[in-house]
Amino acid sequence: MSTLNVDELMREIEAAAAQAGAEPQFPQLAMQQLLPALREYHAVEPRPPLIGRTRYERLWVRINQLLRRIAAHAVEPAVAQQNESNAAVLDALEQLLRADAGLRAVVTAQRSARVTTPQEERNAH
Amino acid sequence: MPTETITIVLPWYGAETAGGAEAQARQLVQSLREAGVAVEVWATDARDARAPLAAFYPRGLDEVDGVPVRRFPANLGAAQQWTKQYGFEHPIPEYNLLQSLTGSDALLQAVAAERDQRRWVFFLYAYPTSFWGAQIVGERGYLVPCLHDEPYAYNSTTRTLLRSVRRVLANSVGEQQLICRLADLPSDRVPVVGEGIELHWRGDGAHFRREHNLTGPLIFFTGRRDHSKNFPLLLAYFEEYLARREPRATLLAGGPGPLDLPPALQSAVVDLGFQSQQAKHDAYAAADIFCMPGLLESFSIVVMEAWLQGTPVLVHGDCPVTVAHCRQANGGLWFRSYRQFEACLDRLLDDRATARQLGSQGQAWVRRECRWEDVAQRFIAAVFEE
Repeated sequence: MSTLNVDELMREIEAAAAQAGAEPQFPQLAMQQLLPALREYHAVEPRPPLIGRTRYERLWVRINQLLRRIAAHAVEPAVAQQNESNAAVLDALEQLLRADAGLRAVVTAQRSARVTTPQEERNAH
Repeated sequence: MPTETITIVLPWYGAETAGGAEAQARQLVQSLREAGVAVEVWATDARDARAPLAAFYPRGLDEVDGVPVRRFPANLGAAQQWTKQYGFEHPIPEYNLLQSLTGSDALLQAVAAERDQRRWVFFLYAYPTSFWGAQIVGERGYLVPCLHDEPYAYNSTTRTLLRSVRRVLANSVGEQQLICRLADLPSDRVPVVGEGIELHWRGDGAHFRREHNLTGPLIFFTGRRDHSKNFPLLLAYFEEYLARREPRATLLAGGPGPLDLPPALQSAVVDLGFQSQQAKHDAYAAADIFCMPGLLESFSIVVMEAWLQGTPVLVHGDCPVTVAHCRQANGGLWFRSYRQFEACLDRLLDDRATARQLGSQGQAWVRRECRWEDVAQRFIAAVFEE
């Protein structure tokens, strides 16, 4: 049996794909990509831990602690507001994704009911 | 046979350690030992990336699979001493990144002390153990970077690391091309050593179909079911495919972690969860197509395992490594858009003779190229050839 060359097969695949019509859009993928970072960072920590291993680093930690205490009245209310806003954005995105998935399920069911073969689809274009 | 000891250095190593590169290192070490090469492993006492610094294994000398393993306390980054000694002319964010990953000052001190007595092979490109280790040993160093096309690969520290060692050992032709491009290295400094897989597995597809009560075409995916493997893209494309064609195929989703399916796919996707090796090979054998849409592969063991069971594969066209595998083996197709994905599925599901031949061509290639004994010989040649 002679070897089947995948580059030749891919040329046929690419030609069939080019004839198949416009590329569908997948906006849910862009939205889903935002979720992991938003879930991980939506709650901003106003006082992240300070670690000092050497004597110099420990001194730097003490200075930072003092600076944080001085700036707390200005920083912490703003962080709290930002956290509320981030939580709202996360909630909105999750609701949007759920609504989109529900809508796509309905559309998928309706479209599957009037299935086309690859040839019929090509003819339609 | 070479008499000098090869010392493999990596952040984590041991029986309880998870991770693809760590598993690769363990099998390679075993094959080198069987080939009669003196080999040792130096690692930290932490378990793996899930608990990167916590002491888990005993410090000092240990033995894994009959191979000596020396473990050192893990710490973040590396001591200032190396920065002073070797300089660090890279952007500050890259320094911070290096300092945020698992390293071991004690391990690097020991490397410096025995620098001229061994051949050093560093695994994983991003870690301080590799970066500073390679600066310390210079021309006596080799690197198995497990590099893939991701933002970290473009850091100037990566280029420096790739250029510091005597040779960079690539897992695949695709990875070799990426390394040569990023570090501006000639291909003879980046030999393709490859990876092996366990070739003894025999999947029972009929048993798998009976057990899961499945009929009709099956498309199989296994791996992390998240963005790192581009799994959401597979779900979106498969959902679209079901809408455009009759519900003609079932998607089998294996791998750890939760599976969040949209309502349209609830009845068309079977969640296999984490599978035993035998169950996984049964699923490969049962599947009509194995799909790996990941973009960040440096080898892709699952593609090899699918071919071992004679199943054709479908990969993403923007992953140079898996596309190169498909071309070399003539065992699979690739897609860059939904329309290509659809055309590939139509072809492989409608033209069974073509699908079968692609699968058997892939199988023949894996049996020829992925024997651990051969990988060990290529590795020995790359490390000991002057």
